[in-house]
Amino acid sequence: MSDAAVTDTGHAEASGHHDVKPVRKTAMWVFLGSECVFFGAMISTFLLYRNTTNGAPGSEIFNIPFTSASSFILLMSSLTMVLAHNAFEKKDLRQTRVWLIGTVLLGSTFLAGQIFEFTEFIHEGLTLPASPFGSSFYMLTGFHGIHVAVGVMLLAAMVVLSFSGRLYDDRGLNVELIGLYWHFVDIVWIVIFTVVYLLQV
Amino acid sequence: MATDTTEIEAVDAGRADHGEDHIEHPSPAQYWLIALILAIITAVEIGASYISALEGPLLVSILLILGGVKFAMVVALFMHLKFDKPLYRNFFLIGLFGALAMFVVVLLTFRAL
Repeated sequence: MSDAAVTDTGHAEASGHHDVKPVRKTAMWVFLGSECVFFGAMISTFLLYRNTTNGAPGSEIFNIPFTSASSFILLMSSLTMVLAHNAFEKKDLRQTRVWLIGTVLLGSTFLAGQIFEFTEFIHEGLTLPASPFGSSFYMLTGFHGIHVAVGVMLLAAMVVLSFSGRLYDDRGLNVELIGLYWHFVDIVWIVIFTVVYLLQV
Repeated sequence: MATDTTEIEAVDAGRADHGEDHIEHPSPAQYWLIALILAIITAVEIGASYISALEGPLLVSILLILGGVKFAMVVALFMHLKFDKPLYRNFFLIGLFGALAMFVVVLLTFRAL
């Protein structure tokens, strides 16, 4: 165990409490590290099959202006998330709520855009079983979409908790940990947007 | 509101008991500035992908560098890894290098790199 973790445990034990906050944050970073490997595997698979279209549509059907707008929306949701965390740290409940709602709306807009994009691709013949390119593309972007959906639900739960006065309840997930998860979802999209979309056109 | 205030005070008291460190994070104005820089980099990325003169390895290099800068800025400044304990950074870097290692091994194994 590192010195930092030992020091935290020491503080907690000295005060007679079992402070699990640093443990939860450490666990979140371990989880995010493992998620890097998960998405690394998905991106590797996509790159392996990026030219295996078997006659089905490939990257030429990508709508870069549309996906760029989606990327911008997700990027800005990271801004609203960090502002929510900043307000949370300053105990400004109203601002925290406003920025959390903003993040939920931006995340939902990104998801709606992804659903629209998938629908368009399917109409053009790019389906999951159509080709290895289609399978790897939908697996990668679909799993990322599921992560965004989970993040939106967690953020919506935070908004509900803020109305019931339990946002500062120091148990379970809090704004900081959900914020880390949300920013991670954003950095994964930064990689996907560059490698899957921009480099293929 | 009274409930909110009581809970906030209780959390503050708990933090003081535990001697929690307070490291200065960027201000909201600085967060807006960071977001503006990220938006400009994204615009440059999109623009570069449409310039035919930049095709090939040059374009790939430019897009990977710009993507890497955005990635690093979000991780360091929005996720506060620059200000947090090295322990968190180490756990994240282990995962990140694990992913990069797997990426290289997979693509080399299938001769796709």
